[in-house]
Amino acid sequence: MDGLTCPHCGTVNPEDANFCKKCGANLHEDDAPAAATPDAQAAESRTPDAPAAGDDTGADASPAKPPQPFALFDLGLTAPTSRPRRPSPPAEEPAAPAPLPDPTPTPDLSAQLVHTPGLLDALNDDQLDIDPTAPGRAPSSPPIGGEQALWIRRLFSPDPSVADELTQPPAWPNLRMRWIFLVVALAVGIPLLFSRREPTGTIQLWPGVQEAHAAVAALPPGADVIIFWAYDQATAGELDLVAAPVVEHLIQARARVTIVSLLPTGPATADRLVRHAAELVAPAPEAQAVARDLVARNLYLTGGATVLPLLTGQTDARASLLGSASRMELAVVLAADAADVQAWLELVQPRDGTPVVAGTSAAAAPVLQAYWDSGQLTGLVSGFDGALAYRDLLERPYKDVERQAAARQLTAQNWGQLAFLGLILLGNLLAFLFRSEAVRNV
Amino acid sequence: MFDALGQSGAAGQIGLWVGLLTSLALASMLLRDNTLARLAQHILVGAGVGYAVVLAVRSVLWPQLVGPLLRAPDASPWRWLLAGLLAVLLLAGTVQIVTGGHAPSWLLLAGAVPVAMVVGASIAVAMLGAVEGTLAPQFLRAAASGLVTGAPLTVVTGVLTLLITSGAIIHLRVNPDRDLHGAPGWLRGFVGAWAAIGRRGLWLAAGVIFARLVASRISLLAARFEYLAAALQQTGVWTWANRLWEALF
Amino acid sequence: MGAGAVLLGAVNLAAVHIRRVQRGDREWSHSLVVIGVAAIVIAAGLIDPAGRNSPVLAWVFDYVLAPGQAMLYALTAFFLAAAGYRFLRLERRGGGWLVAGAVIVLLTQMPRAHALWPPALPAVTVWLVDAPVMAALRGALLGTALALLISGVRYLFGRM
Repeated sequence: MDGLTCPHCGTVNPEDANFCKKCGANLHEDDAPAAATPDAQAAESRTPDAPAAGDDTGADASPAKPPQPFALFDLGLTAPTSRPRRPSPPAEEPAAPAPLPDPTPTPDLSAQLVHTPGLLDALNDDQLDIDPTAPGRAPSSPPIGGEQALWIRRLFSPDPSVADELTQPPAWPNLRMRWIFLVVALAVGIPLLFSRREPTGTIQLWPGVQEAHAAVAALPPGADVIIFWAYDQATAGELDLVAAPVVEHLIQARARVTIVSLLPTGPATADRLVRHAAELVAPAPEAQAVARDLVARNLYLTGGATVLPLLTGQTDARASLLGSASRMELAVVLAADAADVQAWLELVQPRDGTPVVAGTSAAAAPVLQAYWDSGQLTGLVSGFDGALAYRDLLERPYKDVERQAAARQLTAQNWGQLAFLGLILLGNLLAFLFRSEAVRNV
Repeated sequence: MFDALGQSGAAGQIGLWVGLLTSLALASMLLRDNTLARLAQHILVGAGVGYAVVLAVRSVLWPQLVGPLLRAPDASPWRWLLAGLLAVLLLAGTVQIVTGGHAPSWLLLAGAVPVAMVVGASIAVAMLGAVEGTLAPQFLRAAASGLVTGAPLTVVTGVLTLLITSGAIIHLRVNPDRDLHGAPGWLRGFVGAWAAIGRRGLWLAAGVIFARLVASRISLLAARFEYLAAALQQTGVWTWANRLWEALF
Repeated sequence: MGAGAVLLGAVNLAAVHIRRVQRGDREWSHSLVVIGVAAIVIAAGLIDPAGRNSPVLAWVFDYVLAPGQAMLYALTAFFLAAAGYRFLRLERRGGGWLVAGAVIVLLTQMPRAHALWPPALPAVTVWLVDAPVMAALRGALLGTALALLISGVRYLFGRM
């Protein structure tokens, strides 16, 4: 038969395919050395009777093998197979260190039951002796992760069969993706229509916000500040929330700002945000002048992070790039990704020693916490809660339009996060009920 | 977020429709893959690449290289060197692309010089930065976290911090089967247990990052809903829909 | 050199899509759209003396790039929800820790729910993020930096 046979589900794929068009599994995984990872070694050592990877005569290579889940992700409720069970260790064998977990798919029911470490890795499947072929076993769930892989690959694949696979609804207990999408859309969209005019609720105050505010407040009038603008319109929905109060505070502090961005659309994004911040502090006719007074330069630099060291020191290159060789009093990094803040802290700050305040996406904050703890970051503002906390610290009272925007943001967060919590709980509840049913029937 | 929805005139009106339709076409991807969504993606790629090229030429190449060379050719000789390397890079790269990977070897060799310079500089800069900005300060801070004194909770937190940090490093960098081959069982068990602590810390961190990612993405989604609502109102679609609703019900 | 890389990227994109059009590949018309849109934007940006501030470029940014990019990124919320439903399971390896971390922070950062929890919960969450989570991620940062250093040395000395 022409084509590559998927080692996991047996589907025949085109010769040049890298991933299975049905389950998304890596078609060349058997090419990798069996001992590529420690976990793989451990798994192999614990399953001496399992067919070796790459063994064409083994069950793995057979197209008739029952469907198996996508190996990379699936450790959950899956279909039993004829995979040999592991022998129990002899009773007299001395207690060994806890075995390394098995990264390979563990599709039999005993494996499902014992790979439930949760907060404890107490059990291993050698301690149970459950026949995976017994009636009432867990029915098959679709390849977890495979669908996501297909979604991603479909964007790049000209093969229509990849797209067609997605139209097949997954089996219980996996909800169809569209229902999940609908829940999220309704949870965020509907409350926005009926959100109150006043923000309600309490925001979590994360460490670093007050320190960021204090660092900007301490700037002398006319201080030179550099802003590393590492976000564009893709993430502006969140990052503009963070950047607006910081930029407004810089306007209040009468700072002179040089903006540098490594993103082509960074300067345009900065232009619009600065204009917005200026309109918040000054009437429309004067806002343009306010923005002009704030921004000395707004630059796009090519070359990626490699160019960042050129922004340090009293060099000609720096003067050529920034139009000035004077020392900056403060660096503000506005970034969607922790890696951009990290790049600044690695490539610029050790050389010029300028204090750094980071305004980032909420998702970047946990990673950057280490830099905050080590003192490399002077302040850290992240996410909608960090943004609103910073805004509360500004002396200017809220305008109606700001108050309503804050109310909408909080409403969306309330209901959106509630939906996420509900989905997580539902997934666990279904998995628990489903498994309990399976256990009773064993 | 601060989209220029307020622009007036025909260009603004057309833009509103273009933005609205592009957004809806991209969002339709959620329902199923379709040709409109793919068309919108292609438009986005084309516009993005065109925008990047213009910025690269108008904001970098012209003001920093070509302009100064034309104005004062003798002022900075290093710019001629840079221009030469850039020309070689562009020529070699273009020929390689156009010929489908069959550029003459001498040209490839010449083109490899600027590429090697860029790659070498990038690696050196990244390595130096990793040491100066992460390895040294984070290592020192981690070491200091285990040496705190004061209230019991502070001490416990400090020791726990050190334990988890070192455990995470062990989990990520040490392979007991390979690195401790032949070592006594107690040592392998000890290292395994230490790594297990770090592993649990990393799992917990992944959960926290997920939750913060949720907050981040809800902000983005809410901003898009607001954009769509504003665009629907400004294009008049909202009014039409209201009239239709009133007429029907 | 970075600007050169951008130009080469554009040449490569054009070459790929021109070949697709020449071969009449599936959805070759989309490739034509990529080339056409890129050509129009480049021509408008290079011809207009205003450069980056050209009204055409501003229009492209405000009405094509900004809404399109933002919508693409916003869609990730939906996939994140699907991932949360499917992967944040207690039964998975480490799932208890993952779910615990996610749920505690979600509960803490929900503005309306904030008042419902005992006052200690926000403090516990901050401690969690500040101590164990930060410590683990510091370990990851150190591990990554070490790996980068080792890989860099190997690369520079030609011992991949």
